[in-house]
Amino acid sequence: MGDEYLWDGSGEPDAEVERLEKLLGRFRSEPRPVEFPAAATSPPRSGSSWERWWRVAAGAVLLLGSIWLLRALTGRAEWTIAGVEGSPRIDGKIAEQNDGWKIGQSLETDGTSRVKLRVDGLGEIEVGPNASLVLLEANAAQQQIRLARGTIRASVTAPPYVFLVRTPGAYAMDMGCAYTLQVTGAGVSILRVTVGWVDLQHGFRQSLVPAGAAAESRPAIGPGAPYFEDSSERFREALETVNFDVEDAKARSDALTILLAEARTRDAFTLLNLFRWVDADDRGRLYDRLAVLLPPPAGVTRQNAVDGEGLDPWWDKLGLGHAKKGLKGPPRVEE
Amino acid sequence: MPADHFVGDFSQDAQLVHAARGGDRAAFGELYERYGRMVHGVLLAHVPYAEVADLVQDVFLVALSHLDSLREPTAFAGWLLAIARNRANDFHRRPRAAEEIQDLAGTSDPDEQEARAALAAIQSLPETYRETLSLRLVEGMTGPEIAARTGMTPASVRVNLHRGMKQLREKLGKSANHG
Repeated sequence: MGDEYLWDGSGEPDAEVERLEKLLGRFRSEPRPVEFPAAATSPPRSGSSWERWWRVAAGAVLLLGSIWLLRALTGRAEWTIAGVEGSPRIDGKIAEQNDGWKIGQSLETDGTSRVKLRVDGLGEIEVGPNASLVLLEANAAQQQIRLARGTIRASVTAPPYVFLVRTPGAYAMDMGCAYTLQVTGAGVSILRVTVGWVDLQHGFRQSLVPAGAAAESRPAIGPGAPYFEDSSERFREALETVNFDVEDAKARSDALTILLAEARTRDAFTLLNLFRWVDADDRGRLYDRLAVLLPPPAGVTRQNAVDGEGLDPWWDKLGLGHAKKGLKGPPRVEE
Repeated sequence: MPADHFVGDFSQDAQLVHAARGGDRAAFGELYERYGRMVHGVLLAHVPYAEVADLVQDVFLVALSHLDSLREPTAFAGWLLAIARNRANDFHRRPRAAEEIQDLAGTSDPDEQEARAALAAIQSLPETYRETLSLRLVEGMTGPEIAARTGMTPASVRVNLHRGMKQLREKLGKSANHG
């Protein structure tokens, strides 16, 4: 028998190859729907606020990276326990002050335990009760933690994108900030940023979350558009549907109607984010509501909005600043 | 399907790389769609199945953040493969918590057991054979597709498939005899 079937599936089927294909198909890469921000399906835009934020962040990486590398060369990128309450455990053993936390080790807290960890030149994290983490990577270029459940509060002084937390729904990448990140038993993660910016990514979903805002992420879906937590309950419920009910377009569209009705001027931030998530018809509806809440700057038209282009001046008008590290000095986790 | 069918794909890669460098995330998304399966198959040839999805994300994350350092955009596929293999090596270099090693967990499903044994047998083959067989038997890519995506010559892919399959049959035959 020739190898034609093995080569390109033509010719007489080879029974063993067929059987292996069937058996091993369960390990195949699942075609995860690559979800693009709606605007990203348009031709590349030069100089959009979104891309400008990235470029500013990249500039910050260069500048702060140099400073940080100098510090890293003279210090050790090792995690040390800086504070303990109760009986947190590292790889099953009770952890004590000044113990190290090494790559591959799990760290768990029970209902009455907390632990604070510190890395010179990076910052610190405080781990709340009932949490489970694993340290995946710890070097000058990358610090990476998997947070399976529980809550951490992070205060990071490393350059952007050095400190990364994996959760079931997204990667949380620090851009110079302080934040709280909670993973529920269902794998939903909730990020609340107190200083600076955090970049949430999963596949090709992305949310840049500024200080004062929050964002949820879901397993197999990724992060949703960020929001301010003082928005109305109905607004947040509707946003949840728009963000995560990926199978039901009608439910999403109905939820958008509620969301638009509930939106305040401050929620223009969420609405602008949603241009990246909804289809052309709904982008028109977003424009109409935004135009009432935050009148469009000169040059921003409804057609721009429907096309998902030319919204930069509206972003600037929000006045949230850019994803730039160090604007407010070294971040610090609230005690 | 003739291998030449895919000639020209690398120039398309270059266009996508240029666009992605300019901030076009849809272009990078297309690169992800073109190469996600290849990266998955290559990683699966080296690391436990439970780790592969996360590592695929890692590989594309690294690629996205280092796209400007790629000197020759037509070499994107080879560059991406190198990142994938480096990430697989990194995985084996670091100690792992027990919770990460899930592939060793028991199962009572005979098909699942057989599938795991077959995957383990592929992972025990020499690197060149295991990657090619993983792409063919797991990811369902044809030989010409593997050649086009990895940049290997069709002749090399054909040889790897032939020799790798021969070794795989021997391994599976032995394990069946010992079972």
